[in-house]
Amino acid sequence: MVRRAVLREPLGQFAAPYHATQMKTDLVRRAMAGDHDAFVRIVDGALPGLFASAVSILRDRSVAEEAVQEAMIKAWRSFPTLRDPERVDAWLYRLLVRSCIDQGRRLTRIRRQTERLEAGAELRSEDSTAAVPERDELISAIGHLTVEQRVVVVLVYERGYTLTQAAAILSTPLGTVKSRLNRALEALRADLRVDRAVAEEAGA
Amino acid sequence: MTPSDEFAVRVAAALRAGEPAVPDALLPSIAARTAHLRQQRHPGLMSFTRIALQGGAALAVGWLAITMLQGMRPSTGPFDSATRDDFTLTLSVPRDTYRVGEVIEPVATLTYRGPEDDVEIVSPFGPLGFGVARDGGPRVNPASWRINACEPTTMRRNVALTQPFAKSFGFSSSDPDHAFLNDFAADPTLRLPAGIWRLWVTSGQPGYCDPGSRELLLETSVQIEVLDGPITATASSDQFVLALTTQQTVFHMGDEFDVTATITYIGAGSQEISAGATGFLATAAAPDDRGVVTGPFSRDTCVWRAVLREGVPLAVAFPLDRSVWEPSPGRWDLVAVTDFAANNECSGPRVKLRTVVSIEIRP
Repeated sequence: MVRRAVLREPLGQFAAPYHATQMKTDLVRRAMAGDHDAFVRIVDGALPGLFASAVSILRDRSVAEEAVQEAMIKAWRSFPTLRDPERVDAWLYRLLVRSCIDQGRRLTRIRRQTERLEAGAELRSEDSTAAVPERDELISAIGHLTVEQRVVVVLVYERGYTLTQAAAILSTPLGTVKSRLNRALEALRADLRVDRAVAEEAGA
Repeated sequence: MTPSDEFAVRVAAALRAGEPAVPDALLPSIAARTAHLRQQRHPGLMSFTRIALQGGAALAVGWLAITMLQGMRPSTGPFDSATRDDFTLTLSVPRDTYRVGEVIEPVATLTYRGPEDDVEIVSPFGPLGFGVARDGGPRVNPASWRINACEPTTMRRNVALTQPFAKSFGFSSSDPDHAFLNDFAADPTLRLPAGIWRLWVTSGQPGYCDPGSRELLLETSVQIEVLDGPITATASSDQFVLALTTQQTVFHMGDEFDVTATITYIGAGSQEISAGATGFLATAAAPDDRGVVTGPFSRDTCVWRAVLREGVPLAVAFPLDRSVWEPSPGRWDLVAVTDFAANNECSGPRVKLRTVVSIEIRP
């Protein structure tokens, strides 16, 4: 399981993972009690992963920024209702995913045609591994998935959540998550086949 | 999760290969946007805390009052507060945007949290005064002045005093904003012309009351925007967008309605749909939850079939039959509903969407 959202430790005071985990739980409890500084530190630690997921889902950095902001505003307001402080990351992802789906649907409506080209180009231009052709094709193909399919792909393959965890984050039945993932993979395979056929035709 | 096959491994590797840098301004922006927002409290926790600390029926009443205030506190609308000398003044509005003609309902609260059981405060208005100002312009009024100016108000510790918007003021006929002030004074509710507005609440006026009395000087404000022109409400699924558009939100009796509902397919290519008895697209009007269906798009099961092409909306004017619905003055919710493939006899995707815009009919 890949977890890139690491809590930043002040002054290196707590080096051991246990202490870091404990400190994070303490921060969460403080945030639940209304400590805004604690909330900001939690967000600071989670932001790289959250932002990366939002960009992967939405294929647009500025819209991803907006989605993350909206999700974090909701998080601050709802912190006192958090049931399990030790699962704050999953909870933040749940809020982020909802925000991304809202933003994604809006994007789909507004610029369905141009989104694919712009987002693909934007991500490729910033990507250090852009020279790998298959990755370009895959990233572009992921941009063609529905927002709901992208969410599942990102949670499972980018963030490393299990299907069960993804289902919990999405508040969706496990079977739905499985079928969305399968359909997403089928769509990606089909998309790549079409791209390659077109490329071969052009080459011939 | 471990990807289950080679292709999934490649997808995972592609996604994980590059992580975009977090924009420098993102964290400061989140911190700034949340710094002044109040957290939502769980009602159950609040009741437990209060009962445990203070107990008794009288304080249960206090809890009830505060719970009611929490309920009045909008979850998403503008909110701000000011605190001074053990007093906290708050101002909230349910939404940050309104339409021309819509009633805006700001609510202010003042709470004393000091050591005394109760205190008296004085103010020339009672005890909180509201004001409105165009963005960057002068304040129109502090409102709700009392006949007995500076009459003291008794406040109990931890019992929030709440005050909905009220206004009472005078103005000169030579005032350059006379036309607006005239309309503003005639309407007991708060409705504003299009533009950006700042709403104020203040708990006192410096030097107005007896210098020896406890005049509390606290003030806070929120900003809202009042919009004119068309309004569109939408609902969407993966493949369809339902939109209901009205060119205005205030109509007068006898006005023609320029309201249209559309359903648009946003998938790729085209999609055949078929409808049950309620049709592809129905519109209805409902005041206070009493619905008046103004006409279904189809009446027979599955007889309506159509092919929607990507991005080409299917439109229905509202209402379909004016003779069916002749509205009386008041507030009405206009509702658009799609119900494709409403039973198993119909083919095509099942899509149920509903969206609403509110309008006002004036005499």
